[in-house]
Amino acid sequence: MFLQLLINGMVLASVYVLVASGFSLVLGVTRILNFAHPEFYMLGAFTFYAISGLLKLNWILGLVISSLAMGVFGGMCYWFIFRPLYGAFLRTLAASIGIGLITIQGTIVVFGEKDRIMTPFFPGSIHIAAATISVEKLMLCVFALFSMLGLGLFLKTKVGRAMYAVAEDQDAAALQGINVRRIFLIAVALGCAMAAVAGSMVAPMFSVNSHMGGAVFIMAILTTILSGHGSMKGAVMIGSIIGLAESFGYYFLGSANLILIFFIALVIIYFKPFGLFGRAHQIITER
Amino acid sequence: MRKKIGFLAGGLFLVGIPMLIKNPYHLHLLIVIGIYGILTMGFLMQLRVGLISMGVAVFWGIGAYTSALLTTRLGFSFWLACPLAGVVTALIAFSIGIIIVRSGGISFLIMTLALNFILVQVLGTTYVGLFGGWGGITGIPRPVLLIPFFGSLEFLSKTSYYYLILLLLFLTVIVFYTIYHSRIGRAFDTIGETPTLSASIGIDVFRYRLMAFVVATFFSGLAGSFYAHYQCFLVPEAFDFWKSIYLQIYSILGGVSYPILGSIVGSAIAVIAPEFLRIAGMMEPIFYGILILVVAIFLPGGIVGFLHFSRQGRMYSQLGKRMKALFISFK
Amino acid sequence: MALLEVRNLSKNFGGLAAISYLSFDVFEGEILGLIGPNGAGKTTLFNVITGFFTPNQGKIFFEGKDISHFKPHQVAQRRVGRTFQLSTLCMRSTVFENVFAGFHLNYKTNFLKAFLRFPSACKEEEALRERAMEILDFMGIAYLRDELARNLPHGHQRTLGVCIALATHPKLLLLDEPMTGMNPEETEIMVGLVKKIRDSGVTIVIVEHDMRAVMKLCDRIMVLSFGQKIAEGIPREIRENQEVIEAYLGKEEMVFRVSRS
Repeated sequence: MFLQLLINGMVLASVYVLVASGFSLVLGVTRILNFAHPEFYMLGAFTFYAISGLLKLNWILGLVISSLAMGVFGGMCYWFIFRPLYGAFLRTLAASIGIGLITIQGTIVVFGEKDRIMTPFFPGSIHIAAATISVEKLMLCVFALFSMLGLGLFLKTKVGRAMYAVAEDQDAAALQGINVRRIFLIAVALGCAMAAVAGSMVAPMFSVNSHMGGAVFIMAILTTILSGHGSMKGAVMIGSIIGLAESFGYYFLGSANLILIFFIALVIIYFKPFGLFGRAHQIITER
Repeated sequence: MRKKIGFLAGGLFLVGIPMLIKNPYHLHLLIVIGIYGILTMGFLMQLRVGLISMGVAVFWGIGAYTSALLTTRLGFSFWLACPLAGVVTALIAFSIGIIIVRSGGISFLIMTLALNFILVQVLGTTYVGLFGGWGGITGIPRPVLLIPFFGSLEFLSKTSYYYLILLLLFLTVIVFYTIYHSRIGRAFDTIGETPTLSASIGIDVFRYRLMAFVVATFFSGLAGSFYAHYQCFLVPEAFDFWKSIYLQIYSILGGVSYPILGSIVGSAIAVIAPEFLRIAGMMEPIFYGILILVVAIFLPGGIVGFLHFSRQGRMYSQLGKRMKALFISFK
Repeated sequence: MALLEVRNLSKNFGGLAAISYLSFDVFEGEILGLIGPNGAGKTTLFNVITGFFTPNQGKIFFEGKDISHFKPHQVAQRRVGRTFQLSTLCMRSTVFENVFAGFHLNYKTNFLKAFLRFPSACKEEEALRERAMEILDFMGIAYLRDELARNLPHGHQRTLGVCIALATHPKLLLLDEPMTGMNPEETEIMVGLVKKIRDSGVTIVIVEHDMRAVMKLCDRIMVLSFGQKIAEGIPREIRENQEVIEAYLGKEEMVFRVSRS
């Protein structure tokens, strides 16, 4: 039983980690609160569905295309919408909500209201001791792991380190010759791409519908807040903990598990408003 | 002087509206505008002192549930429950505020965000006997007005509710206006712009911030009470964080620098626009989203700011500059 | 009894001792200069005195009362005013509104009376408006009264900062580099103004880097280096103090030699 709960928790955790790290990356590097982030997750799922589900192309192709597409879309959103609004916190927030509304309704218009179900690409399940996990879900966890490792490696590259620099201190980074705007663009594109990967992997497991972003969003935000924006390691750890907590909590406490999580979160936030792994940054400037 | 005449005229016009508009659905829209207007004004008062509250809906919800419980469980009449709800909300806000207002900007923002989640969960899963769980509270009584010689008047028609919310709105506007144009309002402004300087000239930043917070939440509580007795049922999800976020957007639509007018105008646009856009059928939310985007990007002062400045022609040059910046992308 | 007494004041940030065992007095009616190389702890000292930082050790007495752990607004209530190095003005307001904001502590009529527009409240408002113009006039920027603070050149912003501090009717005024960014003429004018402020009954402590101004203006000078007092005395003594000259690495030696008392 414990093992099953653990496995379920890991599956949840994988999704939360992927979405949250994308959100956290954008927030940490560009200080933009992109409330449309879960929509990239949703759009990623839809694109994957369209490519691999409807057109029946290879799933790898579907994954690649959907993450690329969302990366590009995210980049465009940054370039045309967030960039001119830079520094105006409330307006960026409002704009991201606007984007969210448009994309959600857009998918409803194009794909209709019904849930879309995809046939899994990895049929069957594995049994480990007394627990079962479908291969599909296992692939999700594996993918999440590899993605995070890949991200970690990327952050060690020149571009990645530039991102750290920008997250730490924009002006100092600019003085060192780093093209801050380009880094912003890359960060946003990357974050959205990650969300798309999560969406794509989730698509075959559960159904794809226009509102799937909402469910993950709360947990993703919570993860980002608790781990501190910009902290990837934190996102992994906290995301995993939250996923596990939700899984175990549900078993023991039923629906009250969320209250417990939120309450603990509130306490943590009070003592460490910048997250457990975060650093004190200003993300709000004068309007 | 001109302003006072404007207010009076506007007020009279609003009072006379039910004679012009009989359609109950339209009245309903106006009532909703009234509710959102009060809530948004609360948000903007907090914003003015530098508190970005992501939890506007939280205290609205607390007010609503308090009032509902007072009337359904304790048999209070609406006229007692409403102000009590406001007071209870303010007290709860005060106790939470002492902790979260002190910590400052970012921390406040995050905690109010978290409060949304917590409230919804608490209302939905704890004390189900009291709060009614996810099904919420139903059968909330309508207000009953006892007039000495005529008997009692139950609020059955939208018109009566309209006047009630108008009364609450007037009350809120008067109080807020007075505060903003007083020494307290000046202190608020200074705190919002430069808390360091404020402290050095003797303004107790924490005390005034807490004051703004409590005042704003008191009126949110009143609005909540009205909402509970208007809708006659409550569900926890009505007060989720999306509501809070949307209220923020309404304030941006109106114009953040216009705490009273902007709130009302913004709420009005937010409620009325979808009605006009309804002809687009399924595309309606898309246009609504586009509207939000357009206002956010091109109209930094909101609609009110835009109208205010376009008279002086300043906004047009701003608009032109923005379009240039958007499409001539370099570096 | 001195107006301001600082005893064994220490302030640390992490491992760094910004101020170490500092003791000094400020006497009523004097202009005390506070000089020292960058990083010596001068602004930190101001921040501690005015309550923005809490001291790790030591005590501060103003008019005999212990204000060591007062919050900034409480210190201001005791009539200690200050200016800031970085712009801390209400950028979106006009010059007049900025100064008026400084009257926050000086409202005598109560809120209710003001709301109901009692004549006493209106009179007070009128009086305050006049006083604001007087202050602006005094500092020479009355002609800028309707200009937005953010449109002012840096020097005028500093002057505005002084005006706002004056609006609080301070007994002790702490000026943090008010002359930075001013050319010699403007500095000259500012020196005259600071003297006028003192003559109107305000005790002044001024941090400045412009040595000529400091020598001309101050009755006494205190020199800080690395958070410690290395010299204290009248300008002539400081000018000839070997340690002081060394602390400035000889850079200011030329200035010392050039300036006359």
